[in-house]
Amino acid sequence: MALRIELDERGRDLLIRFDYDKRLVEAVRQLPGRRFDPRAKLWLVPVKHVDAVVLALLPHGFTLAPEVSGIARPVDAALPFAAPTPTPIDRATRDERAPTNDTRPPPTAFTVAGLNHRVRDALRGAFPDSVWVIGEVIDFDKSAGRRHRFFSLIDKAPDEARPLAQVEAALFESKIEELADKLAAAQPPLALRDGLEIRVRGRVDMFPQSGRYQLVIDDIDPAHTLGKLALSREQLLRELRSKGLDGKNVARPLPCPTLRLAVLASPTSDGWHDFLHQLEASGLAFTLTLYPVRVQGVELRRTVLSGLAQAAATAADHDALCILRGGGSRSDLSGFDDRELAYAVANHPLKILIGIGHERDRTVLDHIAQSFKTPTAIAAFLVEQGMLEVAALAARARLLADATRDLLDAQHLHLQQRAESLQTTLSSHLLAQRHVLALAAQQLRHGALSRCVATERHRAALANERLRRGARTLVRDAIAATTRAGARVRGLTLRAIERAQGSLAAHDLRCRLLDPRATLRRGYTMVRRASDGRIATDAKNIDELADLDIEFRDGVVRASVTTVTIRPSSPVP
Amino acid sequence: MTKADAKLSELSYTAASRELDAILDAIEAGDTDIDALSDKVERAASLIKLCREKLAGTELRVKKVVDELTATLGDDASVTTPND
Repeated sequence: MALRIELDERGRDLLIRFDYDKRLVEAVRQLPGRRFDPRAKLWLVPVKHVDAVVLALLPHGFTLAPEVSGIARPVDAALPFAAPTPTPIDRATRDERAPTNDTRPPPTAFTVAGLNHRVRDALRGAFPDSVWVIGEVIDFDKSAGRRHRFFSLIDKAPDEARPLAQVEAALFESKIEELADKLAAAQPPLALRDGLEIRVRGRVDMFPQSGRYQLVIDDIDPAHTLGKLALSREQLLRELRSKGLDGKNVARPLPCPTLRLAVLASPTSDGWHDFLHQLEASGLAFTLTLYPVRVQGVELRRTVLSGLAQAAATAADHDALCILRGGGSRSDLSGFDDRELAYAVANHPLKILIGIGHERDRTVLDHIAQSFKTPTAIAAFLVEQGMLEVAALAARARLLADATRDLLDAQHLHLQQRAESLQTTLSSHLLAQRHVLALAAQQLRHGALSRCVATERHRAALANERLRRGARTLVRDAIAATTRAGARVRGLTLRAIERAQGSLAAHDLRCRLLDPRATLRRGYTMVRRASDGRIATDAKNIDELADLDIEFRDGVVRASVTTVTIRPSSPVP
Repeated sequence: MTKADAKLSELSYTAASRELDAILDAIEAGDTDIDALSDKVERAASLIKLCREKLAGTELRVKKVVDELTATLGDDASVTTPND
């Protein structure tokens, strides 16, 4: 088991793990607040004692988990492993600074080589074993491509350009691959580069040819660097947050559609080609402007800054900017935690989409720009946005048709309703008028009739009255007239009666005088035809053999005519 | 000529899209005079066509910008890594 100091999930205790070693147990027992967890078989120490724990255990070869490195105070030169106890060479040096009154003859002079060998021996004597050293890497990148890598480690005060101390370091071919693998296996993966603070184990040695001493590196502690990186990443993020820059670019709206893209990528990378192919397959009218950059190594910072600046200068030609890096996850992302890069991204006029091909850990840029796992994920996102816009456009075309039809329908309906309403209004108006008229007519009828009847009645009454009066007068007059007439009639009648009576007497007399019987009595006879009882007045009308009734004064004799001989009658006297 | 009547060819996608929305809003709200409806629908249809043309592309256009800084990079194989 590796000697490891970790932080528990709740952040309360440091967890110290190691295989049983009496020496280590003794060291741990000296720690304040330590207790043993027999189940987990590890030691726990309250996190507030982190500095004491680190100080006590690092010399024993313990490594720190990144989260512990983040909270521990940087280990300084006072640490026992960084400042070895006085060694024979120290004593020798002091011996050579012996009092000036030493009367012994001066020693034989060294040759340079002799001196260097002597120094080398002294060094080797002073540092019989490898030592752990912490320092910042410089001049590593410029040795790229060499078989062995020679660079320097420095101590640097914050905000100081010049190093406080510097030591040369050598990484020989035999170790380069082993250490690179170890760094790449870290989570997140690391790669040696300038600016990293590293904790390395090395042998202190010297090359007599150059007379320079070096740290020949044979091991590295990625946890220390991760912790430092995490710490500086956190500090940078805090700084950006305090200035309100962490969400500035993220908050930029993505234009719709996002078709004109500025792309920062390596033209030879898989990430760029995957991105290109995915966009091409979409059938959407993407226009890409590629700014070739390096997305790892020494050129990353400079080229990405340059690409960002160029894209910003032509921001009006782009809808968004993509920073791409393809490939596996086993690569160093710490270049994207750069302070100047972070500021350039945060303040960039274009919306930035970042897909730098990592899975778990987030760089500073991932925090301050819209982040995707891979370039392909960005392409998928952009294609989806474009397709949504295509769909939205189709929906708007349908909406246009529907809205136009609705509007026309509404207008039609409105007109129809108005027509109906007009009709209804007219009908009800007419009805109302008719009603009014009917009422008026009725009233008129009633009023007129009443008035008429009353008038007529009045007139009738008057007429009646007049009639009655008239009648009465008439009756009276009539009665009077009748009375008068009666009287007159009576008078006249009486006179008439008198006249009649006189006339009657004369008539009676005359009648009696004219009566045939009187004539008969006077001796005359009256002959009648028996056949018809008529008086035979003319002789010529008497037929032979006719029966005649001859009335005499005393009776009637029927006589038959035997012969008719007409003779003239005696003349009238 | 008003801004709304701007030539189609001069319109950006965003401007065309905004104008389209404005026409749709007006038609939906019933603010459009029936006499003007025909013109508006015709304009909206042109805008939709323009937007469609701007969205759909027959081929991907790629322009590579190489400035002085990146030109110095070249395509040095020793610097290029699989992740690059």
